[in-house]
Amino acid sequence: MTQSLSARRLPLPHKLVLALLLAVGAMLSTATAQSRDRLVIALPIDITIPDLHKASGLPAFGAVAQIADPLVRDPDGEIIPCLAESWDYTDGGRNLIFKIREGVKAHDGTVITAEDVAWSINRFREISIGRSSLAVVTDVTALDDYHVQVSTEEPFAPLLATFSYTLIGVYSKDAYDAAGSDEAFSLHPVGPGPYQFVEWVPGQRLVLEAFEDYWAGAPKVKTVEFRVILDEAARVAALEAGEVDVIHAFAPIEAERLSSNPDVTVINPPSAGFIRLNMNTSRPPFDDPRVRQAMAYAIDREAIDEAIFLGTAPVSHSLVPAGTFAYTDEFDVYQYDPEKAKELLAEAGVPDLTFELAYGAGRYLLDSEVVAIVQAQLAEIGVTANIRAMEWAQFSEYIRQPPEESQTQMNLTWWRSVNGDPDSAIGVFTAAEMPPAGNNPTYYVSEEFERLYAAQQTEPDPDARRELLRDLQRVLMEDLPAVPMYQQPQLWAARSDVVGMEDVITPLSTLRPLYTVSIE
Amino acid sequence: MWRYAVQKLVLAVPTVLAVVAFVFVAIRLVPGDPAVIMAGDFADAATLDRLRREWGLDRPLPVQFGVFVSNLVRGDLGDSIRSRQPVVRELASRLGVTFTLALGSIAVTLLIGLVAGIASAVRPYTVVDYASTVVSLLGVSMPIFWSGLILIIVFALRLDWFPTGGIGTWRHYVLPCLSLGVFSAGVVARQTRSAMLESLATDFVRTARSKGLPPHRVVLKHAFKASLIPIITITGLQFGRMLAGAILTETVFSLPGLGSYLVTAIAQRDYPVIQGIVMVMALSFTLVNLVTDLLYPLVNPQVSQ
Repeated sequence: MTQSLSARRLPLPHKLVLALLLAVGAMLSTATAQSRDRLVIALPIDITIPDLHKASGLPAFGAVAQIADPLVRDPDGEIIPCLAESWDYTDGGRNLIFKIREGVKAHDGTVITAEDVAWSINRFREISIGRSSLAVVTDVTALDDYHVQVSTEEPFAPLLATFSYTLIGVYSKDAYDAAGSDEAFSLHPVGPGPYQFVEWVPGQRLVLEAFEDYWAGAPKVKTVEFRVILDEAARVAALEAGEVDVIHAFAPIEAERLSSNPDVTVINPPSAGFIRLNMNTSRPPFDDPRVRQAMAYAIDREAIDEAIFLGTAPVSHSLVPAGTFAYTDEFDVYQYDPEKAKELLAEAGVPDLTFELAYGAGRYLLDSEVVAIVQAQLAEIGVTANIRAMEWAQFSEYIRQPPEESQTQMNLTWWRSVNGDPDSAIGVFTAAEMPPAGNNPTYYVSEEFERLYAAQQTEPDPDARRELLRDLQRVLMEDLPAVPMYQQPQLWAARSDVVGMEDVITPLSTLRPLYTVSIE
Repeated sequence: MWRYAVQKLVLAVPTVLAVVAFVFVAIRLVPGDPAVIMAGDFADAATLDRLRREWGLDRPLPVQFGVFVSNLVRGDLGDSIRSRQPVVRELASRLGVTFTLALGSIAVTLLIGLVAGIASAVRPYTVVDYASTVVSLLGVSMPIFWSGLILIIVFALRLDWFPTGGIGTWRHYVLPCLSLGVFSAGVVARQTRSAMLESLATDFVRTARSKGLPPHRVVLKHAFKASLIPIITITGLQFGRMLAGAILTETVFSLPGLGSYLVTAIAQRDYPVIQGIVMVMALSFTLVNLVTDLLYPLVNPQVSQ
């Protein structure tokens, strides 16, 4: 039974709602324009701690690296001096001696000497997650005020290039001692970099201020803020609203839309990362090289680049990243050829091949889409790829099982070189990298490969080394433990008045010293 | 009354501990090694062993739990595996954000939900009722990652009234609270409507009307008050849910709260952080339940202890 009250409306709640709407409507927030001496860069992940030697999470490296400074840089694959003015080798290449630039000041006013450099490198070797990049180094010492010696047991050709790695930054040892504790220093690091620490709010932002006495010249932008925006769509919205000036890690389809926005410029720098389809060579069906090669013939990699990435992910033609020293595409004979694939499978005796394709869903840009297309393309030649999407943590454990226990057949991962040198990329296929100790999800073993790899590591002559690396790529593309798929697209976008971003973005999506970036 | 409150609080301790113990074991049984995740591409056997030893992950489960409890008693929740900062400190900064978001959202929920529910109840089966039903349904059906983005596009991008995300001023909370609040408003509206319909049909309301009391007094002072118990219950539940971390809302609006932090911690297998957040959530839920329990006798003296 219902009863209706009088026709008069309830005034109070309705009035409140109306008042609220009017208030909202009357409110005009000022446009959140950034003052133009402040550059705001959005980060897709959180900075766990502002200390470079303790950093984890690749996108955060470039941010915390601004406070430190590297010994050398490699803007175009060429090693150029930075904190190290020059270098030399002694003892048959077993010692690399850096001459440190004189008069370099740190943010606390002290002068950077060889002692700071040696201490910083050793701190990196002790606590950084990237320490294995200097695993061959046996000793780092300051010979005098401006010379640092890095020693290895055998000459290691990629050693110099390794020092351009973002994580190996130099801090001020005096500041460290003055801080009182390791933790105190980590929360407020001091170094010779172009920007000095101002503020860090976990989960939100890292704010840095220009260091006027930076040795290469005062930075052009006074303040840089790294702002954490985890959600991709929110990042793009923030850029369009003018709340942030630079973003990266967004889908190619957003790039299309942003390109038509006059206030925004899309940047597509070369990428050192690429995606591989790894195949477990230690058990059937991928213990047969013909089956592995059939996969490469059956997958139309060009189509994947076009359809999913709108052309921003060029096909990889080698298991060494494009743009690194000695990269060559000559051995990628695997043009899209489904007939050839079927032939090879028939030869190998597995025409109705069925296997599992595993991946850590969501880890890499559009990985689910890629895996779906691969499955469809393989289905066209009668091969059944059962997709297994796993959470990243679970997946990374899954592909690190010892060979006898490993269940994986085919899986998808990213790979890279940490500098312009292919050694760190190609080393993953050596026996030393066999899981669970190492990172090789293909369980590949080859005597010829081991021999060539060891030789290139100690070869001092660049041309001879280039030949060895070429041979290595030949072996890999013939044995094909993994199919090189495409270069991981590197998509950045900046407000149109920001100048110079293309020069500071590294192929690994980290950032070089930002002192050359300016806002018009 | 106070004895009741204290009793409840004391009972909360073993409850919370049980929840934490369960999560402690469960998260370690799930595949995924935090050392491997932390070390990433650079994981060699030596690095992994060192990391595991640092965090005591190589010790047997009961030992790990014992260490955790003994630290807990001293108010130490351990250090985050990823940032190596004390968990207590990491949580403190984020708790404020989640709490503010929850408070603002529940205000929106109550404002919309109560108004819609009461309006529906006094005008049942009319346009007002149907309209508010549809709006409630819409509110509950719209996924937050969609409704939140629409709000950002319209009010932040096009109209430029609010920021697109982050925190800093009260403006930063408007859109997230709207987004999250509307979601729960539908639930509260339905509950309010049915509770009010029941109250409006009771004898004492009929008595009040026949006494000549103005209608809005009948509705608000008498019928509404009588409906408060289920409304408080549902509101308490919604608030508890919001305190537990409105994960999607925090992610879409880049709010550094507990919810988004929990998601990151789970993906990283950052055990100490996961345990800490779960404990905070369990405690919040318990406290909210306690508060609602204490409110019942206040609004309806017939409810005795």
